[in-house]
Amino acid sequence: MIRAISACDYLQPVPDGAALPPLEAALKDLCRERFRRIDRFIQLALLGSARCVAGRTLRPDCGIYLGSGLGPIGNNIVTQQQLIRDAEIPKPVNFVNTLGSSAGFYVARNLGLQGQNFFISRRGASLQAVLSAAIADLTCGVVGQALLGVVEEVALPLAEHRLRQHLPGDLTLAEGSHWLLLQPGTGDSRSLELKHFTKFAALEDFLKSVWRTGDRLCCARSMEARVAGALRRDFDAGARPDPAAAFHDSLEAAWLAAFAASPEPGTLFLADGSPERGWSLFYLGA
Amino acid sequence: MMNREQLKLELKQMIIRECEKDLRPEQIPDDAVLIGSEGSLALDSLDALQIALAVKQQYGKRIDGNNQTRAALTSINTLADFILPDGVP
Repeated sequence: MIRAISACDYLQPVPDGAALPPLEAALKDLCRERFRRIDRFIQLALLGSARCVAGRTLRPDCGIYLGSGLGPIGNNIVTQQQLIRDAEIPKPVNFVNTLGSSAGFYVARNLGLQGQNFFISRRGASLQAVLSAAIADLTCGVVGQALLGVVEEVALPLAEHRLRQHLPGDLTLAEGSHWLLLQPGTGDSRSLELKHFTKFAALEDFLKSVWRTGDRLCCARSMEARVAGALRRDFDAGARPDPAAAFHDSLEAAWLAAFAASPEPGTLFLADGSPERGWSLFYLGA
Repeated sequence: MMNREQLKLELKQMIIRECEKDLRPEQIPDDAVLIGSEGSLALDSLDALQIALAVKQQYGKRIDGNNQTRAALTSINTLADFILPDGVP
């Protein structure tokens, strides 16, 4: 059984006209050294991972599984502007940090980890991608512990950030850094499981068999709206976070991390899939 | 035209900015080794690239891979010599 022994949920709405909140002071308290050459995406990754670990000693073979829909978008924009708009060679530090894996490097360095270190980007489904990878590795014993995070950065101006993602002009945007520390074992912490289904009906039947009052259902954004709507009608009796309250590309990670960190009873189910890809159900239980 | 002392101050400010070092210009001696672990600034190869690009953008002088120009990154003094035309005090 895989358990989520710690969680951190940093979700910060960015109001229109506001500057991005500075993170340097928080990082000064959380990081064991002052890192140079880090962009905002790396700052967010360091903030969430350090809060999640919260001073615990991690296993030497703890793997890092970092996901993001947009990746280091602010730094990518700067680099593209240097290359295309200004016809200049991009600054080396900007160029290096266009790789999402740079953030994993700094997280590992801050926490003293030397195990495997993944960065996976999948628009609208980055959480599912890193969860699948981490669960597989933990189940097979490839790693003894997994530090799993999903980070989404906002790049100003907000109007362009919305346009880039084809979002409505009035949607509130947020930055996020959502992390879980996972390891096999028993105990009081929440269990994490993953089931795959070839047919949607099998997923529905399974949910019916395990659903209890107070459980929550989160349908991934990548699910077809009609299917997600049907699932919500049948199963989602409890209150859910409102996705319109503040949006980023991996909001499912915010729900999962917030639930993992909360003492609320019940199970949170995250459903995803399509007829072509098959169906999956992640669930974080008591 | 900029004199040598003004240029050295600018170079120190540029290095502090580009390499995000917690230093003041007066804490960088003119002859301090800039790159490598033996230098007091402990700058590395990525810092060297960052400085080389900043020098190109700010002063139009290209530090490339040959030994002569690479030697420009030895210290503030050598960097100033590399940028300034001959004869500038």
